[in-house]
Amino acid sequence: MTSEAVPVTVLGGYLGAGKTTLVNAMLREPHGLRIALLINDFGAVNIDAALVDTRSATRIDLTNGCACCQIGADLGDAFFDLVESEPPFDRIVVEASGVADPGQVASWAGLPGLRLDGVIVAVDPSTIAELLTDDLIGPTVGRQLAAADLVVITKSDDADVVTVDQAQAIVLDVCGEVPIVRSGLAAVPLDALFDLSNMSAELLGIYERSGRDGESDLMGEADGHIASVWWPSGAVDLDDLCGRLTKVPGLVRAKGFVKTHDDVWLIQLVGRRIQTQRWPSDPHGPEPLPVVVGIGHSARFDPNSFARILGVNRSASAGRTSQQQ
Amino acid sequence: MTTTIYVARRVVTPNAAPTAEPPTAVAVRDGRILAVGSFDECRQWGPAERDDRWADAVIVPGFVEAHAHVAEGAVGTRVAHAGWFERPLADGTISPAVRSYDELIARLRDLDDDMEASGEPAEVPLSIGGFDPIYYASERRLDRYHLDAVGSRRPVYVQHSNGHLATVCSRGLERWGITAELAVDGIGRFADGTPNGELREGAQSLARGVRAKVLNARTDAEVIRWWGAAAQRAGITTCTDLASNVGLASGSEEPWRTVTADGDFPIRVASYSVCQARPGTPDEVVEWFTELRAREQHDRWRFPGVKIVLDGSIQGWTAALSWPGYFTGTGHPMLLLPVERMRDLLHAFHRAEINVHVHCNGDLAAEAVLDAVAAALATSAWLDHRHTITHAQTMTTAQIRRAARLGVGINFFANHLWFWGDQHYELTLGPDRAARLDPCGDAVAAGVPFALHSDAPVTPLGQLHTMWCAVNRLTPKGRVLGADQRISAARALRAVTLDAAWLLHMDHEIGSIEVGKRADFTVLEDDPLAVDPMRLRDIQVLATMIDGVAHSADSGT
Repeated sequence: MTSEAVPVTVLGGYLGAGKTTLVNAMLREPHGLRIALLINDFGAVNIDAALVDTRSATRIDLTNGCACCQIGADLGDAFFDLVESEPPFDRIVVEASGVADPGQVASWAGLPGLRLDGVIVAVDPSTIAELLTDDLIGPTVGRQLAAADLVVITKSDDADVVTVDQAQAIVLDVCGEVPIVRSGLAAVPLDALFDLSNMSAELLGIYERSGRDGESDLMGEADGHIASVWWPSGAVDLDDLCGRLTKVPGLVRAKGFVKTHDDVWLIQLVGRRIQTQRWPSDPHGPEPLPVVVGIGHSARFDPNSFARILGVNRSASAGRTSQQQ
Repeated sequence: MTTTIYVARRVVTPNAAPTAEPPTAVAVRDGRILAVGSFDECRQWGPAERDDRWADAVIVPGFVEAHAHVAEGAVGTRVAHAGWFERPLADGTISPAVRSYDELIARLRDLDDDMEASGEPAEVPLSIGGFDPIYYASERRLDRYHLDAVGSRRPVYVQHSNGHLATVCSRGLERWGITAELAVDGIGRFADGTPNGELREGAQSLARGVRAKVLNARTDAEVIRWWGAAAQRAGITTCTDLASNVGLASGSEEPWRTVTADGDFPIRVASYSVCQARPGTPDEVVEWFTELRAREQHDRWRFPGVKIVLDGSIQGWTAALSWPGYFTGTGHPMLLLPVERMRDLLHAFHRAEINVHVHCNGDLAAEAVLDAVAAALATSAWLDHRHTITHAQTMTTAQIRRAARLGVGINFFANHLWFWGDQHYELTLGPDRAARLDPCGDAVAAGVPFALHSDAPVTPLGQLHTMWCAVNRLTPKGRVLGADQRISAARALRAVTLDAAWLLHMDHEIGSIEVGKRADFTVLEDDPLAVDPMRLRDIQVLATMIDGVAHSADSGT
């Protein structure tokens, strides 16, 4: 099996947006992945002392294989160090500084061996309106939102519903159509944000189909988000499918393998970013089974519409290209 | 207890003249000023040696530079220079102006020949700094093919002086793996997607190892010595390193400790570490600074306060300007830390009665600092804080009046009037706002203590040149930017001596020639208050004295 490029998630957002809460939740989760977290101040991260393996001025290695690295004077150097680390990490998550443009940070995922999974921008619903209208701060926050593939409205269980809805409207106004995840202080949708269940590994392990062509099943539900699996029927038109994925209400993350007439493709969606990659054939192993898993907000995303939108009338709109990168 | 009376054509000091006649002598005992007046007045203190070496010269207080950087010591010594203007290098030689791509290529070829002659291995890059694209606005942008014409077997790296950009040659692109396929933002590309040699912002670090050389210069004892020598030649006796990494990087203290402990080092250093680079709560950052200061501070190495960098630069299009923004082009106002963090840090240092200097080029940034000081004063009444808005280039009249009321000092980047005055008029600010760039006249009217600075290595060290800028407000194309904002030579002298010392909380020790103060002098061949104001920058510095010890400006030692 070919090793995938290491996915990089960039988490941006202004000071107080709730980024550190999200990465703390990520580190706490017993996900079994080796995650490298790049952060400006690792004093802000809650690390269980019992988990610390080695500690230097700029890096803490944990016994579970994860590492926290402090970003020094040069972000590029921090990325080079990670690219060169052996064994490679499963994922890299960067918590950008409160004034950084996460789009620029994300550009480092263009280094060989890395792949940008997506730019997630955190928004505190109770402050976003004020920040965006501030003459001094507004341009920075606006640039951050413009770079977002996926927006996470944090503290949404702490703010009233009207505030959250208003924040959502503001985000859509600044960003255009962008998938939005709501996260609470207690319940953080970690799979939706960071793919902690490691969908690609799980997908590679699926060799037995449990559903029927063109149908979808509910896989699970947690933290206000549900995961659903869709079984494609036969060969698909890749561009057409990508276009359909962007139309699924409430979908925030998807990953899967599909077959075109010639090849097997890996599709990955994070918010409004869709990436496709031809999957190399492995003469010694079984071909991945065509299957696409989606995660979406439970109030808007449902398995039936997932299957309906992805599965119907494939040939009618063949040739349409709405693939994004 | 030796007393020496230095006799001069005139002793000029910004405080009120202590005697009826203009003073012509100053008596020094134990490194301090014993008396100032006529020779006869001075010798009434008892037996003294008369020293006539400066009898034809003019003695002024030692110049105080309240905003420079130690990286000046690397200009021409660690990093070759290719600036638009002629410039003194840190070793005292002069770098001629580079006014075309052909001259740039020629400079690079000379450098390459030197490197070959000294046996530098081919993998050592050929790098040069000081190149400023804003002066080449009418030319094709510098790209890899221009630099390939150097014909070097090394990667060629041209650092642009605004810090946002570098240009590398084709060999450099190859060496650093910068290909059409590499999807890193900031790689400049031709229409066909192939890299054109430009590396913007973070992408500059793709050229691995080149920038490290510049950053490491800050903790290089040789560079610190060159910096001190360059400052001394310019007549400076107290020089600020206003974005110090002392205490922030491992090993950052040792070279400073060594150099400043050397009695022959000709300047007093004021270090302002960049406190926003220190992680932790504001109180933890204050604690870190307090410990650093207690551990390291001595007579010749001061820690008056800390630095915060809030926005970018005008010529880099990243300053936070209020409406209507940039005159031409698109601004990308940049914040280097969240405004709330600036406010919290400033507040914490204010509570601990520690001075803070905040870099603000845009007026929006200055406004945020004034707000922060007002809030800090509301909860903690340290009236003598002297927190300083440094650069302050686009501060409005209202902001300057407010600074006066809040006790905020201002440090104007007056050298911009000359070095970028035409660009601000034509490109960045437009005629009206360029006319009140670095509005020293407003500061005089409002009664705010203010200094003038070079921001070396952004522009060269040289307080006489900086005074000349504030007094004449002339541009290279012959424009006078805002005649009403011009100040007198006397006011400019005060700005680079007593008021600069005030911003550093050192005006009780230095900055004027008064009884009891340190014997820190600058000796000039002519009187800055008497010459034609257009001649100010041509006055030669003959010598400096620090704590009663003279240093000739020729030797730099």
